[in-house]
This record gives sequence, C-alpha cells and structure tokens, in this order.
Amino acid sequence: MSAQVAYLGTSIVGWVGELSSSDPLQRRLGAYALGEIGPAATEAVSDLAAALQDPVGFVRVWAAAALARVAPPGGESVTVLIAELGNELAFVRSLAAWHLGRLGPAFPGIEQALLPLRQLAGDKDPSVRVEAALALGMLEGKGAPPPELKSCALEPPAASPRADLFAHL
Amino acid sequence: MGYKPIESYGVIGDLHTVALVGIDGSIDWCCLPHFDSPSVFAAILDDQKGGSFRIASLYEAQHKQMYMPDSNVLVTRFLSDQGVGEVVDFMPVQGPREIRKIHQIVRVVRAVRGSVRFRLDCRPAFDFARRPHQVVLEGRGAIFEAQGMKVSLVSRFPLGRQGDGVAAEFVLNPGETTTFILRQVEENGHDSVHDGVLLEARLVGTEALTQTQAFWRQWLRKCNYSGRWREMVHRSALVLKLLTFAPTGATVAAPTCGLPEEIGGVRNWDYRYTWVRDAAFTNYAFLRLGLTSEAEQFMAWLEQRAVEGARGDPLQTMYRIDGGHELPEEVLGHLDGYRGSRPVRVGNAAAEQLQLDIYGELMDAVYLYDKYGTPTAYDFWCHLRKMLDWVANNWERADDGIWEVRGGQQQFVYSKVQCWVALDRAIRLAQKRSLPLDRTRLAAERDRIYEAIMTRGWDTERQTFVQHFATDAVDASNLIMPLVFFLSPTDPRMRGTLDRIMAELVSDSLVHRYEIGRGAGDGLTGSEGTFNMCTFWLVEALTRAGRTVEARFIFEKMLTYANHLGLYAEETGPCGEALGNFPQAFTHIGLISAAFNLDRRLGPKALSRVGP
Repeated sequence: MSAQVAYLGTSIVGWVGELSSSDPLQRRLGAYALGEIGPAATEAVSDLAAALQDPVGFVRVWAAAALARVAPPGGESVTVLIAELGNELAFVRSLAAWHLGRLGPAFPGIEQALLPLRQLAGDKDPSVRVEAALALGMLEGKGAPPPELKSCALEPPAASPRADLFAHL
Repeated sequence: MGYKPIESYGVIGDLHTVALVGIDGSIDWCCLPHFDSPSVFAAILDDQKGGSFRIASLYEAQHKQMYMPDSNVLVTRFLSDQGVGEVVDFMPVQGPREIRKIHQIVRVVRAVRGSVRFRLDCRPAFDFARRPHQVVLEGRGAIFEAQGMKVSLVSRFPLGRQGDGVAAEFVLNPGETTTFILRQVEENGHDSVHDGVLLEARLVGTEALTQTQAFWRQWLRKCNYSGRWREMVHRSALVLKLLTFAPTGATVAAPTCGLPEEIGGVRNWDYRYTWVRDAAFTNYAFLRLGLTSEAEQFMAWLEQRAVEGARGDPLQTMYRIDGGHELPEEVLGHLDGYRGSRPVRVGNAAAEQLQLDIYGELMDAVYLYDKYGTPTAYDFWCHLRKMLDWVANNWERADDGIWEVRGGQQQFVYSKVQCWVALDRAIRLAQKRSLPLDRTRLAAERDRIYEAIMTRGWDTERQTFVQHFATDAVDASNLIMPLVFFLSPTDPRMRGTLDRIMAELVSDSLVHRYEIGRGAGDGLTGSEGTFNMCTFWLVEALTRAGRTVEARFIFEKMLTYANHLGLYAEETGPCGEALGNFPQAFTHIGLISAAFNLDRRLGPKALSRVGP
C-alpha cells in the first residue's frame, strides 16, 4: 500500500491540530486520520502518544490504534487497548477488542491480549462478547466466514454456535 | 464524476422504494421513504448536484456485479492484483406489523483477498437537490438533516466532513467485514424520530442480510415457472416484486424519472407511478407464475379504482402508489439531466389524458384473476358494470393512446381493441359466473367495435392494421391482437400486419413502437430507441402464429440486451445501450409472458443424453 501524506485532503499538520480540539469526535477523527496516513505521519507520533492519555476513552482507543499503524514496533498501543478492555463503558470495551483483533496475530506483543479477550466471554454486554470473540478469531487465525455465504445456509442462524457473532456490525 | 451507462446499475429495494447501485459501487438514485418521494440521491439526473453514496476500492480494479442467488441482494466486486473487495448491498424488508417504518440501505463491505483500501463518499441532496441540509457528525456516524427529513449514516469508522457530505477511507484486512447503514425513519405522527433511533448500531449487518436473503428466497419459492430461460424469468419476477409498493400492492412502471429515451433528448418522463395498464399486465405476469398473493393485493387496489370509475368519470391512466390522484407535472430546471437530457420532469401530465385502452387491460386482469385466483365478488361486479356502461358509451371517442402521445387525440386501433377486450371479458365472465349483465347491449357494442377496427383500422392496400383510423402508418401495439384473442394469430390480416411491422418497425430483431414522423405525432422532437416490450410482443405474436424458429431466435437475441444482472430499461438504443427509465416493469412483464408462451409452444425440453 502506498504511503500518503494527507487524508481526505488534509495534511498531517492539520490532523495533528485536530488532536487538541475541544470536541472529542474531532480528536477521534484526527487520530484516525493519522493512522490512515500511516508511517508517513511519523512527525505525529509524539502527539498520538500524548493522545493515549486523553480524558475520553474512545479517543484513547483510536489513538492507540493509530499509533500502531504510524509506529508499529511500539508495544504501547497493545497495552492501552488491553487496558481499555476494562473500561466502564461497554462500547469502549468492544471498540478496544475490535482494534486488538485488527492488529492481527503478527503484531508485536499481541499475545498479551489473548487472555483478557478470552475473559470478556463473560462480559455482561453482548456486543463486547461478540467483538472479543471475533478478535480472538482474527488473532488465532480463524477469521470469519463470508456473511452472505452464511446466510445461504439452510440452517437458521440460531442453530449455529457462532451465529450470535454476526449479530453486530 | 460523470455519468455511467444506464445498464451499469443494479437495483435493490424494500417494497417501498429502491436504490440504484452502480457497478462502480455508487448509489446514484434513491427516493425516500417511497418510490414517488423526492430523491435523496439523484446523481443519474445530475452528476454534480444530484447526490450519491459511493463505496469503492481505491485500487485500480475491475468491477463486477451479481445478485446473491434467488434474491435482490446485490454484490459489487472490485478485483485487482492488490486485493479483492466486495460491497454487499440490500434493503431489509420490514413486516407489515412494524409500527416504526424504517428504510435502510445496508452496505456490507469485505476484503476477500489481501488487504483492501476503500473509500466512502456519502453526499445526499434532498428533494432533487432543492432542499439544503446540515451535516452533524456523531460518534456512530453522521446525520443529514433537511427541512422535514433526516437521514443517518451509521459507520464504525470515523467520518470526516466533506462539503455537504461525509467521507472516510479505511482498510479492511483479509476476511474482515464492516457494515454501513443509511437509514431513514418515517415519522408516524405520534412521536418524533430521535437521533438515537437513527444511529442505533446494533442492527445487524449480517443478521439483516440473512433475513433479507431468506425473504427473497422464500418469496421466489412460490414461483412455479420451470420452463426454459428460468433464471431470466425469475430475475424478471424479482424485479416486478421490487417495483411493488407493499402497503397497497400497486406497482410502479419504473422506479426512476428522467432517464431519457434518447441521449440528450426531451422524452424524459417520471415513471414512479402506477399505470392501470402496466399494473394490469403485471398482475397477469404474477398469475402466470403462480404468484397469486401479489395478484390478490393488486386486485384490491384495482377494485378501488373501479369504484372510482363507477362514478361516471373516466379512470385516470395512472395513480400515485397510494391511490392518490394528483400527479402535477413539474420541470426540474436546475438539474442537468442524464448526460444533458433535459428537461427533467417529475409528476406526469399524462395522468389527465384519455386512454381508452386501460379498461380492456383492467377487465382482462379481472377476468384472469377470476380464472386463476378468486371468483369475482358481487359488489365488485356492480362497480365494474357501471364502468363497462361508460366504455360502451364512450369507445368511439378519440383518445391519446397507449403511447401517451402529446400531439393530439386520434382514433387509435389499440385503444379500440382494448375496448373490445373490456366488453368481451365482461360478457365471458358474466357467462361463466352467471352474473347479471345487459349482455345484449354489451355484445352489440363489442361487435360494433370489432367491425370498426376491421373496416377503419385496416389498410387493404398495405394489408396491415394501422395505428389509427386516419393514417396508413403501422404501430407495434397491434401485435397485441392475437395475444388478447381479438383474432386468430394465423388470420391473414394478422399475418399481413406481422409482416408489415417486421418490414417497417423492426431493426435487427428489435422493434420500434411506431415510426416517428408518421402516424400520430407525439408532439416532440428527436428520436428514441426500440421498445423492449414490443420486441417481446413480436416474439409472442410469432409464437402464436407458429413461427417458433423466428420467435426463439428473436427472444434469445433479446436476452443478450439485458444488462449484466438481467435487467432491462424501457428501450434499447442502436448500440444496444439501455434507454429510458430503469428497470422497467413493462419490459420484464413482456419477457415473462413471451418466455411462458414460447416455452409452452416449444414443448418439453429434450432430455440430456447420458454417455457417448
């Protein structure tokens, strides 16, 4: 994949500026954009690292995911994402689980995430359980079956033990 | 952005409205919440202002599209050396008991091979780009809010504002899936729609996909067609169902407006309404395929129209899908039109035309439903009798004809034939069910119509039926004569007409409906393509005349003019391009009927030989 120095027409500097916005959604977008720019955004590493301390949980999660793409060797991203698996907000826990799965089995230090992800099998929120299971599937190399093939199956979805994994986006 | 060929679109829908999805992953047409509502995406009518919702791979890729088997779930594929990605598009179909009416375009995006970088651009333009809107970014996506309407886009990936739309780029790893949902919630009059409902994310990407596929598969299972060209017949049935408005059972002629019959031309009409004619033919097609519940619902809609017709005024040629009568025509001068084809019109002034043929099509639908569905109820029959009285008193009037010409009324032969059908079916039905009817009077009028056609609608010198009583021009609509049993397909007059139409209106097997510049002027400039329905009528007329070799060749050649998904527009241009509104019910009805009759005439398929 070719490196790019802008995202949606805005440069790295512009997105770094968004990291200090008063609006957490803009901070999240800034972090995401820098992650999409990837290694070409090395000048943003320190700002992304600072964003790992953001007061808002979902911003921390997106900053950690972005940092993993901008400066992949660092293990800090995995540490932050694992910590957010224990966030009090269910959507932040599920978001963190999703990002851990997306890092893939080859990401340095990812093996530390396996146990906490397995522990989420007992989470009270179904979306967290689903995301954790999907992430484990990705990290353990199982992947997920194509959804439309699954829907072609004659058996109703509930008959499959993995059916509830597909009940979410 | 540019315009894509009309045939480069697939269609998805939820039995209230549809969306056209381009082979490049761009949704360029969608009206919400209903077929005849103002548009939210209309890039087919103005590629700059119209609005669109595109999701596509950012790699240089080949594009392909397919429907998931037996369904209206559409897969758009992006194939490149760097990776293969797919977007699965569908609109979940709600059950009739759902209190809150939600319309959703669900787009499941997946990397099939390799990591794939996608880009999403969503830029709605409400009310044919006339109503400005605000974009509000939310944690779960974005809300587009215009006066009187809100649409949300649910996204897992953060969306960035781009002008009056949103955009995102994202990478999916091999096997990874994400879902985007464009959602509109109808106000039900009791409570307003909260943003939480609009942005509710726990739907369901894949559960909705499973349910939607199951819905279509179960529906198609009721179709009993097992003859040749079954996949094309099934696709046509699925299209007709997509064009049906679930609350009333009415079918739209096509779900689009303004797609031109000639590129750059002026014949750009709004087809998002229910023509009595088209709907009656649709009913026939559903009955032919054993889909009686659709026919039953439509008959209820038709009965309401017959009740109106019994009040003494002529029926309208078309209605709103909810049965409403008002379809004021309006020109959208601010839109560029498809490839500069202007004007773009919404509404349809032809609703106020007098088109006498619709009584025949309506009565034929009643007759067939009585035969294959449910016996005609007495109250309905009473309404029909009043309507038939009107036909008996008015069939001699000039009218605007099946082609809705705007060049003045004429004594169109097709209209007379259908008036004959109206009275003939009434007499047959009364006889079959012993229903009360002034048979003597109606039979006398029926026979007068017959003689009028045979004397004033026949050109002895050219040995052909003509378009109207004051011309020698031919018209492809007369191909209907043997199909409605007006006369034998082998009657010398029909054979002569068939030969004359083939000589004067057929171009490389495709049929023009009439020769522009001859016969009744349509009051417009420019030209048009060949009319697909007429090509299928030609196939049927040849089939019934026993000319099955020609019929089969033309039919199978016509199949090659379908797009990559088996969809047809109203017309086909000289280079095989789709022209006119798309997809068009009339064409798919013609395909079903031609396939049914040709297959039956060809007899059972030969068994495959086993071994050398």
